[in-house]
Amino acid sequence: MTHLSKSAEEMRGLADAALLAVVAIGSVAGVPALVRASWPRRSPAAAILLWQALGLAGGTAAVGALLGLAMPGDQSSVASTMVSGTAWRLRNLTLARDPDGASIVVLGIRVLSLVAGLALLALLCWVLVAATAAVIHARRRQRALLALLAHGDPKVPGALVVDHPAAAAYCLPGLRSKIVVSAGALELLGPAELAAVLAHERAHLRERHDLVLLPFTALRRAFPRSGRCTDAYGAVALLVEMLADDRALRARPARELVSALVRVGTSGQVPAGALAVAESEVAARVTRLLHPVRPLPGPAVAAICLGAALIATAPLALLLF
Amino acid sequence: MTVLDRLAKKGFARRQRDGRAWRYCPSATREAYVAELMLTALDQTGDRTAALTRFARSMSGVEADALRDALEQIGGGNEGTG
Repeated sequence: MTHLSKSAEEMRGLADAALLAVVAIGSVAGVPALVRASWPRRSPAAAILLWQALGLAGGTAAVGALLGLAMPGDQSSVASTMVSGTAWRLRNLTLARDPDGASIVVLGIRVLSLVAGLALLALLCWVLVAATAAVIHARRRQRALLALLAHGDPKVPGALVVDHPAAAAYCLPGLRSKIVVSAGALELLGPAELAAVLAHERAHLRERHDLVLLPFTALRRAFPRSGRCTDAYGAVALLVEMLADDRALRARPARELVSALVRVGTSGQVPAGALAVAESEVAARVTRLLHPVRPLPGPAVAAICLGAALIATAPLALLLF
Repeated sequence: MTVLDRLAKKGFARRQRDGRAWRYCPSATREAYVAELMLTALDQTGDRTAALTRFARSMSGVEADALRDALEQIGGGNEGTG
């Protein structure tokens, strides 16, 4: 291989890395815009898809950009050079020699970005595993406690009742999913409101909204101080609730759902200093139910889905080809 | 015996040797377990996982009042508990 074609290949590799960096920065920069946008509440499902794509693209592009910078143009693609390139760079570093004629500064940058890329990849994989493990553990504990304490009630068929005066309703997703209602909620809500609550929770369970939220929980674990990760999590959590509200509306009138939301939402004592983000959540859902917005037209939804698919696959395509 | 054995393994019962037999006692009260369930459900443990999905979070002060007004306007307040 001549020196010239080698450097041309290297330029292409660097261009790929730069493009990946743009995608990574773009997906992080896109978070506030998507949080502020008003269209997501018109079509929560499409917006959730876009959020997933943004998260996936951000992660793969950031890792890809760092690795691409570390070993530009050694072979045809970043992915295929990952294994051979890593060993090669490390050997060059330990021997302090430089076959490309690259300066020691360039070599230093490459090694740093290699280490950063691999560390980021490891961190992202680890938080996903850790978040999944935490969820499985918490659910197992909930199931064991519910088996000991909960009982059925004819007012809420199919749900479990826990004897506690505070009003709460939640669902425990999984293969053996459960809907749990507190005695306080049974007391507070009428039959119609309870039916609306159950319809809402069943939608969560049926559509596995917990799996939609899991990557964002993991992201928040990875970067607990990042406002963008917290915002992204909050936005997706709210969209998931809106989606479940929409599903509940297929079976129950909006009035019942709103009334249940307000009663449960205003029943509790709010712990001081907590729930600053969550506070507007119920209000946003109530407003949306009281003043329904038209869902986005079909072509717009199709465009969003197509955009999400492009955003999610672009970094992978750059990495692999 | 088998039931208690399982409860002990899950940490819901403690056991002690008494001669050739085991003596079992509950490791926490029913109230404590209910409290644990509800703390997790009400998101007050500080450990927010995606393990559960709550129906509605509690709101405070002004916002709660505004929502109660909205509820009265649509007449939901009259037919709630029944």
